[in-house]
This record gives sequence, structure tokens and C-alpha cells, in this order.
Amino acid sequence: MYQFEYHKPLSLTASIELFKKLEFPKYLAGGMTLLPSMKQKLSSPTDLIDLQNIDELKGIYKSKDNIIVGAFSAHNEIANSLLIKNNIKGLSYLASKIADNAVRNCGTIGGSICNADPAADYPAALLSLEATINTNNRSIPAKDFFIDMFETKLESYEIVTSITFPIRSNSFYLKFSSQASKYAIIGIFACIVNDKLSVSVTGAANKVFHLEEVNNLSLNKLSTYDYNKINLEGMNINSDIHASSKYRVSLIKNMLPKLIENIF
Amino acid sequence: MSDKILLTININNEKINLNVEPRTLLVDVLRNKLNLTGTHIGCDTSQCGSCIVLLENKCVKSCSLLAIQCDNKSIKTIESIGKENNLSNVQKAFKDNHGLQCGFCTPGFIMTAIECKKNNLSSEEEIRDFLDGNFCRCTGYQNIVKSITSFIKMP
Repeated sequence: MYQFEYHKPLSLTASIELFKKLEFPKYLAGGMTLLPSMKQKLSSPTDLIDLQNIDELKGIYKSKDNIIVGAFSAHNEIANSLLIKNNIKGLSYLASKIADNAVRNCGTIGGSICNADPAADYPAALLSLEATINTNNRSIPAKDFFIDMFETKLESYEIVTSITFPIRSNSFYLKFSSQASKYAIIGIFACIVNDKLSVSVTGAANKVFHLEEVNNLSLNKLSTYDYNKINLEGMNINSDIHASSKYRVSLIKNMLPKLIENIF
Repeated sequence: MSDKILLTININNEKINLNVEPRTLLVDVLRNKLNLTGTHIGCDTSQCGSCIVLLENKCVKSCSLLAIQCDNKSIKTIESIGKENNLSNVQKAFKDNHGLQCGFCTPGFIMTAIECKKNNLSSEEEIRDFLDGNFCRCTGYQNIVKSITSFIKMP
């Protein structure tokens, strides 16, 4: 590993002040993407600002009709949280399928969504559930947050503090993943919002997208709908060493019926 | 040159003060500074799980963690699990079920097995799913799963 400076501030304000002063700093959360990237010199910040001592980023709690998840919550905390299991089962299942157990003990939801990997799992849940991303100075709806591959609406110094998820008891996630990395080749999250379907797909394109054709299907049409006729032309579905775009389209169509069965 | 930072880590129930550069990985502190060479470096890219240790009683990959992130925390390595002449239950289970061949990956598997038991996993499917972050290039996993199943059944 190359040399860098390390800081461990005790508050959000101190972290942001520090960030603005330094040459090329990066915030460190779980480090499960950042540290391996730094070891390979894919990323080379001059300073790491470790957020582990900032209490405002921690905890999972219920507030009215929402579950608020602190940005520093590790994937395993989300997977094992009874509050999430009982209120948004799809989110808890999704978190239990990220990477592997040792990575899930360190990696955080805040770190993952700020990195905005196009094959990451959470974006599908955030978009489908209509979550809101809260930062140190504003709240951003998920549909505006993810801009492109590894690009979000955040300012460079901005810190995600928590994510607000509306309670959706009927939700599920299905993933066809790379066997080596467990990243999604296709990941689909579905839930029911006001008796209508809401479906989002990750891993398929440069960023997560809503599956417009089936969104808003009413509950009584779910079992008879022909998912094969979904048109994904113009969605710029990726082709790479893991799967061709044709194969990805076929996965989406074939995974949907099973996913929808599991929502209820 | 980055200044060294003083840390205090509880390693295998012993409080240790260390001066490290920020860039020092936890696995390098364990192996090079403390001579705890039971924790292995396999892939060095957080895939293989040979470097897994327990941080606050949870499995982490010590090749992908800075030592300074562990300041004031507790670490347990394979050296604290048992001794050659006094094996712990999990080690006995691996020995009795031929759960290892060359043994390079075994310390990582032992740590994962401990968390597996703590999480009350019992079915073969759950155990195999839980082992996703540990690679073994000798055994084909059959006997590792057998070992962990037998360890979980122990009182």
C-alpha cells in the first residue's frame, strides 16, 4: 500500500471542514471497495477521513411509516435487523446476499450507495422502495441520486448520514450474480406501493433503472401478465464478459415471475 | 513520510500498544510485527478468506483492513483458538472429519466456522452459503462442510 495520511474526526462538521482543507481526501466507511482499490492504485487519495467515530451515522430505527437506516450500518446489521426483517423483508434479504459474510461485517450501506457501482445491490432497493437519501445538509430522492456509473448527485465533501425507507411489507429481491464477486449480473427488486407493482433493475445498465412497463401493474394482473413481452429496447443493456445484453434481457424476463411470487 | 500513529489493540486477550504507519494493513501487523503467522495472506484482494480474523467477535478480512481502523478494538486470531496439544472443539471437528489437506486456508475456515455456529446455522445449504468468502483449493469443500456440521452439533 502507498503512503497517505489518516484522520478520525468525531463529528460531521469536523469531517467536512477537514475534507475541504485537504488535497485529495476520501471518506472511509467500511473500506470494502476503497481499500482494495487503493491497494491496486485504482484510487489514490492523499488522505483518508475515517467516519467510524461519528455517532450520527449509526443505528436503525422506526419513525412513523419509515425505517431509518444509519449510513454506517454494515450489510450484516441490515440483514439481521428484526426491524427491517419485519417491515421490509426484501431489503433484509438483499443485504444478506451481498458479497460474503466477512465483507458484510465491514461494508456499509452508505459507502456502497456513494460508490454507486452499477452492479451493486442496494440501488435496486432504494429506487423500487422510493427511499430518500439524507446527507449532512439535504434529502435526495433515490430517483435523483444515481446519475451514472460511479456518479451520484453528491458534492465531493457531502456525507450521506442515513437512508429513509418507507415501510413496504411486500417486497423481495432476486439476483443472478457473478460467482466470483457476487456482484449482480442482474438484480431485481420489487415491492407493492399502494396496491401497484414497483420494480427496479441493477447490474443491467450504467445505472439502476425502473422497469417502467411493469411498474404500476395492479395486483390482480400480476399472475396473468406475460413478462416475456416486456420491451427493453433503448435501455442500453450492458454486454460484458459475464453476460451479453441479450442474455441479460432474457434473465430479466425469466426472473420476474419468480420474484413476484416471492413478494407476498 | 507519514507519521506513525500509536494504537492500542486487544489481540488474543492481550492489550498491545503499537506504532504503525496509516497504510499498514492489519494482516501485516499480525504477521510481521507480532509474529502471529497463523493468519495467512492468500489472494491479497479480499476474495479468498485465508486472512479472516475475528474483530469484535465478527469475521473480517485482515488484508482489507487498516490496522489503525482497529484502534481500541479486540482481535482474535487462530493462535487464540487452541494449541497443538490442546485443540478446541472446532479444530477437533476439522481433524476428525479430514476438513483440511494442505491447511493454508484452514485458519480462515475455522474463524468462519465459529461465526457460523454463533449464528445458529444448521442446514447444509446455509453452511455452504456462509462459506462463500472462503476458498479451499484442495478439499472440494465436502469435508469442510462435514467438519462444520459436526462442530455445530457439539455442545
